[in-house]
Amino acid sequence: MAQLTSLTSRAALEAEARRRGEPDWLREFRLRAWDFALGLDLPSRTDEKWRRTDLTGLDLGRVNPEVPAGAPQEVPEAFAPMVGEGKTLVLRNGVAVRAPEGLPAGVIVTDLETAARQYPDLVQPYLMTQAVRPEESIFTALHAAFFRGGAFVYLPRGAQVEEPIQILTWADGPGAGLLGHTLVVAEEGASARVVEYWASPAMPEGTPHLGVVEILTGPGARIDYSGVQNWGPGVWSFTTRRTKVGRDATVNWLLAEFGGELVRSEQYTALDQEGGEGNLKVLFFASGNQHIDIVAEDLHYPTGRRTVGDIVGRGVLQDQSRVVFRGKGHIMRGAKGSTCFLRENALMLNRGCRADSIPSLFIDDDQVERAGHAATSGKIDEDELFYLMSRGLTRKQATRLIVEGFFKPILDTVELPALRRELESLVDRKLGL
Amino acid sequence: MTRLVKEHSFGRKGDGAVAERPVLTIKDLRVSVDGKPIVKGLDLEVKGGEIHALMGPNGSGKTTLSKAIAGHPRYTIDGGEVLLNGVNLLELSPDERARAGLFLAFQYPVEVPGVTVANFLRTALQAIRGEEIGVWEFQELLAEKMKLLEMDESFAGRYLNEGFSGGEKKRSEMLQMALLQPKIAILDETDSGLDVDALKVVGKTVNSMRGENFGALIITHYNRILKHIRPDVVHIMVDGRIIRTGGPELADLVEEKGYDWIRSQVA
Repeated sequence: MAQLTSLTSRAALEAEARRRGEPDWLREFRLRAWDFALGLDLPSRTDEKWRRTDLTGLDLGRVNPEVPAGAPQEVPEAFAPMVGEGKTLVLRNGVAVRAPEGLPAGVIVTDLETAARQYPDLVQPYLMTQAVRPEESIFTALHAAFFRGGAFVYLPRGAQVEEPIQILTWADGPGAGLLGHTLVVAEEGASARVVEYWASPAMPEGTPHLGVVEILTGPGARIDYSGVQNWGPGVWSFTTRRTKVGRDATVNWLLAEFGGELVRSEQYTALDQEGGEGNLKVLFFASGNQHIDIVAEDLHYPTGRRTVGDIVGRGVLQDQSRVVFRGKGHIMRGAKGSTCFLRENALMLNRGCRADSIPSLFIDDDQVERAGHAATSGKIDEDELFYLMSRGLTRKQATRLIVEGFFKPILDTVELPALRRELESLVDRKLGL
Repeated sequence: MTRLVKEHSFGRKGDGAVAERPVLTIKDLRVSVDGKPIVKGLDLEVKGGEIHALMGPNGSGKTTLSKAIAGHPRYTIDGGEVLLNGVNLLELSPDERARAGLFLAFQYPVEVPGVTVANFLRTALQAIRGEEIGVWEFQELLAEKMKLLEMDESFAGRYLNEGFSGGEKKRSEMLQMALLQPKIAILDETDSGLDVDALKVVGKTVNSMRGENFGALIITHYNRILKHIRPDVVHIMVDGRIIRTGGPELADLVEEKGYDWIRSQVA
């Protein structure tokens, strides 16, 4: 396939894995994924799921697993205010430059490459085997072949981590920093809050990012995960995230797509165990010429009786930006007593931007507890603006307050003050304040 | 019409007042909504130290008048002037009008999810005063006003008007007015849907602000509220015009005989 010709050869991929001392299983895993990717084409717009996103100009040959030459190996300045809080892992260009201390016994928070060497029994059974698989798409296949750095969070049975675990990922330029993989594994009854933030400066137009996030929970476990994507302009970001929710386990996950130029962001809540609950919130703020294409699905498998799935998509658009939000809930035959809700809400700050909301609900079982969907998108409310302006606020100040209010319920889940301030200022910067 | 108003403009002694005594002057104001004339040539003058009541039946144009004065974009000005101390408000944006000293208490305050009352009020107060206000200074000021309005402290942390009862929304409007200290306030049916206790609170707030530097126009359908706020002047508005102006006794007359009777007297 033409797009891959400028990528490294199979032999080079193998040599690089050996040079880095990766375990045999991981090297074999990468090579299988590579072979698989060679047989795939880029998605075409004739595929309904890709109809609204034009990939013309995408060159996956630019996927580059190298650390930029001369890149510093210290906490980037942009993260300085945040590292003092929570249990923090910092990855710069795929290299861990700061590791958390004082974790409870048995809890692991480290970069994924180190984890694969040190804890193969904990990594191999979970890495792209149960949640996201290499064969899903050309993006996940290439990701499997080339991922670098990344984060591994492991919570043994019953472990409780009180302080939030914070994973900060920075990329100085095209390369290893845009190939991170996050793997969170919570064994039976374990619980933690995980906050992840990806950021970079501006990059050359069309610089690809291939990301995967996997969250696996055992029976009765609970994970609260927040992930914020804030790549610089120029980045074309392709991320696939999936959580597999255990019996009576709960995953509350919140994702925010703020950065990048062209963004395809897919998230799936897989509910195949009785009593599992997955609550997904996806936020976006599109500005300039950004194109953000979001897929969010709840999948209630036949074995997922009494499962609860909830999707909330919320976001703001301005300038010439475009957002596609494709929410889907699917209760399959057998998933009796399940609940599934979808809500989507887009706020357009000016003419010229466009939001397409495409909700769908498939119910194949006749004993569903509750299910429904609602989608709204509209211009900013003139009465709301007038009310605030009648109290002396300029149009800009009033808009800022409304937008901040729009994101507040989500920001409230980010407990670490420095990261929260960063996200608030991100919203303000987008608004041009 | 203007002449009549002036006869009743009995302001209090205001010698030595620091600020200029405010005057809101409305001259031959004409307003339409979606091409339909609603306010059809209205004259009115409210000065600092005065409380005016504007009474009228439903559909007489009272709310249109208040929204137009505050600058809502849906209301088209077809003619006339609205001056606050000589400045033509009609040439200003809604926020500039507020900063010039105008306040409108909404009949239906808008819900703003995710924005706390405290955050909003501090932003608004800073906008009105044109200066930073320290968090502590603001908290003190807010606590003082909330005490006046008999409001629970938790109110400040709630999202603006979201899930508020009718009474709470009106209290929230009064809190905003007490804090922002406008020169001229228009209360658009603030009394509608309020119980006696809430009415007393509205009365107390307005009465606490009475003075040379504050004038108010109280728009109402009934004279209930006027038992708590004694107006100096009462205007009757019917079909987009003020058809009669008098003292507080006019409100009692409305109560006793109804708008139709007054209309028949004028006609």
